Order: sequence, then structure tokens, then C-alpha cells
Amino acid sequence: MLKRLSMTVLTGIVAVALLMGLNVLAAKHDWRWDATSNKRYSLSETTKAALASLTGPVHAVAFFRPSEGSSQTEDMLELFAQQSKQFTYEIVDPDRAPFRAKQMDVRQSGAVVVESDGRSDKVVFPDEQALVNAVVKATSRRKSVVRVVTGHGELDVDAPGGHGATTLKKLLTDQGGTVQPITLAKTKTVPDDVDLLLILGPTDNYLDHEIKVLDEYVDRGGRVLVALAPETPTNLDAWITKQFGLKMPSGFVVDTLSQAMTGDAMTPLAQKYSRMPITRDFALMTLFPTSGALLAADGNAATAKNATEPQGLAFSGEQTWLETNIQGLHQGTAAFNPGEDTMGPFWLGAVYEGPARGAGSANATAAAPAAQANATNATVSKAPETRGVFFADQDFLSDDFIVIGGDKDLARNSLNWLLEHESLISVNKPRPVAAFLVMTPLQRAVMTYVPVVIAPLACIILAIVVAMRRRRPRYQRNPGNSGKA
Amino acid sequence: MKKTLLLAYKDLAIYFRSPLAYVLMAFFLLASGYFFVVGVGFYEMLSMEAMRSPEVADFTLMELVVGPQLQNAGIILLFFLPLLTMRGFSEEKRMGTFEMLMSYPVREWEVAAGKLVALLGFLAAAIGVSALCSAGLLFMFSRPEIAPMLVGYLGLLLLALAFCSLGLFLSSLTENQVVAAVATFVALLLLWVLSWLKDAAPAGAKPVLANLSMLTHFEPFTKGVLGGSDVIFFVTFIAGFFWLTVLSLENQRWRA
Repeated sequence: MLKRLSMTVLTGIVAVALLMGLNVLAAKHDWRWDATSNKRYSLSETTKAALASLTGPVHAVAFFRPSEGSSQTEDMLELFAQQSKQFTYEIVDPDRAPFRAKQMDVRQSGAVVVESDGRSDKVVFPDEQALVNAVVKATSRRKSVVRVVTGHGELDVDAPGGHGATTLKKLLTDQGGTVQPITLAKTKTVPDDVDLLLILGPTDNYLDHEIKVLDEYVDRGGRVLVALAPETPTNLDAWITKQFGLKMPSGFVVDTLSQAMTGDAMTPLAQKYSRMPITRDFALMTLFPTSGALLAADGNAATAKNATEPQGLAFSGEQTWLETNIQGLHQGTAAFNPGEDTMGPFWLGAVYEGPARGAGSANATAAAPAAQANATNATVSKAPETRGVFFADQDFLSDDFIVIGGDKDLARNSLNWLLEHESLISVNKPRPVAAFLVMTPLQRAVMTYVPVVIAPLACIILAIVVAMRRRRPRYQRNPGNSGKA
Repeated sequence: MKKTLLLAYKDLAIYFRSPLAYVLMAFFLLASGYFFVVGVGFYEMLSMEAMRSPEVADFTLMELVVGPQLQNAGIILLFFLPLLTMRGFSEEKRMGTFEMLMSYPVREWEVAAGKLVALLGFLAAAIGVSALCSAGLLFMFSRPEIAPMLVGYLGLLLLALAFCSLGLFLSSLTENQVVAAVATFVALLLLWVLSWLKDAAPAGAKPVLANLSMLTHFEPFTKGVLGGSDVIFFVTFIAGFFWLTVLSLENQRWRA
């Protein structure tokens, strides 16, 4: 008896240890499959990239009253913690720890404070985007300094609407950057601490002095994002030809595929992109309302091997052409004329990357601070490097259009590449395909009565039938067996 | 294995030749169907609002209709399943057929597995009919995603099977059906709400309490997320109580 008891106890201990061990092992190496089509409950590639680049510990404190429910934020923080061992979090009840809440300047339940190495950032409405931005801000050693050129009819980054680019500004400030205007006419040189210069659709010519300031900035390894306005050509077109070997011929890209898809042939689509860091794995469609076309000035498309020449970034389709008959466009009678128009595909966006022409000079070594003190990926360039991203359209960066398709992702990736935040270059999660449910009265009746009335009633009828069968004597239920009974 | 299936067939026949199985199924369908219809009404209202600006629509049928219905179905099963599992061994003991069953040339694990497979058959039928009469209807009038739904129903089946394994074990300990049912219900309820206590618990105990709660492990399924640790939790839970049931039967045969 004792032997049997001891065997049972021993088996029990081994079995419990085995089952617990399995659970601990599974919790440590948690494998999960998000079956939703847009990976709704998983982190986006941007977030994963940002978390993977963490080099120091980051701690998040989420202030939640138990009654208000923290499950969504807690799930999100748990995913963050699973993605990076550097990320930890805790949930704190502000009523139980009022001193801590006050210390962190938290006045309402639901806020999350992200801390890293003495720096912190507070998120009042925590979602994935806000949290990852807070992580980037809290871990940034140096804020990116971005200047927006003004004074020539450019998009206004502070005014919302069709001629504003506040969303573009928010993309930068959310990642800890500071965005300020710059008037080139009033300055002798672009300040050394500027990481990136934005030129967003000028409609007036630049002064010679301003062009010289730009030349000096680019020659010492400056970074520029230039969005040209094809509606109003300026002398900046000649500047990009001189500096970067790019030209924008007059005319607009007409896209018959876009006409079928969006109803507007003047908004060419880009579905093909070059395999460079900005657009690697980029599978979203981008739209460029009233766009021109960019070409290599020498007429030859640059190859990846020849990196000092411009390269295409986003390409229009083969069905597109460059329409030069502007009058015809206004009247809606434009058509492809073999003798006058050029057939696509065209570059709707282009990039330039090459060593600074003034490399070696005192100015050159002081330039490109983003490369020297990169905030998130600690990548340090050895020599100053000029980088430029160019678009033959400025409208797609405006508040009205940047939210359409993958325009915002393309803009964000371009900014991050220019600022050397390569770890943040990725594609955000697409929205789920909207599955609306609007029913006719008959459909609604089916949807209501089948689950609540018909199915349960069928079961009750079956129960009654079975009960009645059981009440009948056995020989009546199985007449064939009556003789054997 | 053949003996297990034979025993399962016998139990399944007993279930479906008595009105109780159909009555339980009817009430389960009625209660879960009610929550489904409520969810559909809300979703239809939301759809009509969102159709004005579909580009900002950021909700799914799984999130607002099927997921909540699965969570409610889990709670409904928590009330109903003790009524089924109490019959597992307690009724056999009360009717005096338990000794006869144990006198057959079958091993204890085959007896326990037979009971569990029979319950699995009943649950598969109940959950299958519920899925067809609710989530299945959505495919007629909308475009829901099938993969998250399958994950959700797999979770519900695992949860229900975990309930059954605990219920069978408690049923094997007593010949009083009411005691078996009440004990099962209380135990399941405690395991269900364990995660609620984590806010009041000391910091070290919080993850332990959360990991012991069935709610914590069932929730990801209802969103369409298949987690390795959640599947392992349910599988080990079922295996653990199955093994305890076998031990209990061995003990009773040995004492007899």
C-alpha cells in the first residue's frame, strides 16, 4: 500500500512539474499568430523596427484606475515588452500612488509615461503610434532640426488645409524633431545644426543669394526634400538640374489607369518603386495629384552602382504619358500625340545620394549633424554625405492628400531616410477592409429569428420527441425486438 | 482506443437519447443567439454611420460581433456544463452502474477518455450549430474574415473542454450529482475571475494570478489571435485534470 502511495505521489510531482514547466516555457517563448487580415493585434513594422533599435532600457508607467480598464493599453505594452528586452512596463493605480502620479505630472487616468535615461515623454491617449513616438522621443539623444523654406509660396506647415502641410510637420514632431521656418533671403548660410531642409512647392523664383545659400548647404553635405510645383515652374528647376542632375520637363503626367480607379487622369498612381531603403518592401499605392515628371538630366537613368547620379524612387505606370498640351488639359480634350507627348513610365519621385562636394573643408565636417548624432539607430556616417529626395508634385504632401493611399508612408520614409533614421523606415499596417452590414427587412428577420427562435425551438422540439419516445414501452420503440424480450 | 470510442459512443447515445442534451443545447443557443443579435444590431447601426466615410471605418465583425458573442458563450457554458459533467461519474455511481463499468476489461484512462470524448462530441455539436446559426449567417450578408472566426471557435471548444475535464474530475470524487455540479461551478467561476484579483494582489503574484485565469487565456482567441502559451495552458489544464480523473478512478478500483 505504501509503495503504491509513494508511486502515486512521485508520479503526481513529476506530472505537475512537467505541466508547469510546459506553461512557463510557452510563456517565455510566446509564439502567436494574428489571424486578422491586417494584423490588427500585432505591432506594425515601424514599431518593431523602433523597438529593435533600442540600445538602452526604456520603462513605461501606465496610470489606470482598475475600474476604468487598461486591457487594450496593457496588451499593447505587453507586445512592446515581448518585442524588446530593453522595454519594461508597469500599471499603476493613480489613486493608490498619488505622489508618483504628481511626480510624473499625470492628472488623468489612462496616461502613459515613457522614461529612458532621465528623459521622459507623456502620452495622454495611448495607442500604438503614440506609444512608439514616445519611445523614440524618450530615447532620442538629440532632436532633429528641420527647417522649412518660406517666402516663395511654399506649402505652410502651420496652416491646416489644402495649402497646408501640418500632417507632414506632425510626422516630424511626433518623432521628436523640431520644425521651424527659414527665410533664406535673410541668412548668409543655413545654420550648422540643421539636419534637413524642406522645400515644399515654391511658386516664385528664388533670389540668386538664396540659390547660393542652398548651394553652400548642399555642398557641405546638407539634406533636402524638394517637392516641385509643376503648375508654376521656377528657377529651382534649374537648380536641381545643376546640383543633382535632375530635370522636370514642362507638362503633366496623364494616367488612364488612375482615371479608371480614381476618376481623375491627372492624378497619376505609383505602384512600382525602386529597391532602396525608402521603398524596400513598400507595397502601397501612392497618388500624386497634378504631377510632373522627373528625368535624369543627361537622359540616362542612373543605376544603383552609380550612386552619385539621381535614381528613380516612385514610378508611374507604362500607360502614362507627359501631356504638353495644357490648353487641351483644361478643356478635357487632351490625348496622347506621338509627335509631341512622351510615353511613360516616368519618375514621380527621385533620390540623390553622394559624397559632399565640399567634403574635407571645415564647413563640411560640421554639416550633416543627423549623421553625427543619430537619435535612434546610432549609425554614424564617416564622411559627410549629401542626400536629396525630390518629387514632381507638392500636392501629395498637403493635408488634403497625404492621408490617401500610401502617401503618408512614402513621406515618412523619405524624411527618415534623409535624417538617417533608417530603423524607422517601414510600412504601417493597412486598415481592415471595411465589411459593412446593412440588411433588408427580410435579411434582418433571418439574422434575428434563426439564432434566437428557430435553432432553439428545433432543439426543444427534438427534446419533446425524445421524451415522448422514452415514455413509450420498449417493445413499441423497437417492434423487431419484442419477441426476444 | 477502440474501447475509448465505444465508451464514448455509449455515453453520446445516452446524451442524445435523453431530452436533457437538447434542452441544454436549446438554452445555450438561445442565450448565445441573443448576444449575437444584440451585436449585429449595434454593428448595423455603426455600418450605416461609417458608410458616409468608409476610409475611416476601423472596425470588424470579429471585433464587435463574433468576439463578444464568444466571450458571452464562454460564460454561458460555465453555467451549463456542470449540469452535463455532473452526470459523468456521479450518476453512474448513484445508479450502481459504476461498479459494472469498472468490472469491464477496460483501463481507467480508457473510461475517463471515453467520457471526455463523448462530451467533446456534444460540445462540437452545440458549438457547431451555434456557429452555423450565428457567425455562419454573417457570410450571407457581409464579408467577415474566416480565419479569426475559426481561431475564436477553436478557443471556445478548448475552453469548454477544459471546463469538462475539471467537471469530470470532481464528478469522479462524489456520487452526489448536486455536489459535483456546485463544486464544478464554483471552481470554474474562481478560475474564470482570478484575473480580477490581480489589481489587489502583491506585485509578485500578479502575473501568476493572471496566468492561472481562464479569462486571460481565452481573450486572445476571441480577437482572432492564436497564442502558443494560451493553447498550452488549455491543453495542460485538460491533460492535468484528465490525469487526476484517471488517478481517482484507479484509487476507487483499487479500494474496491
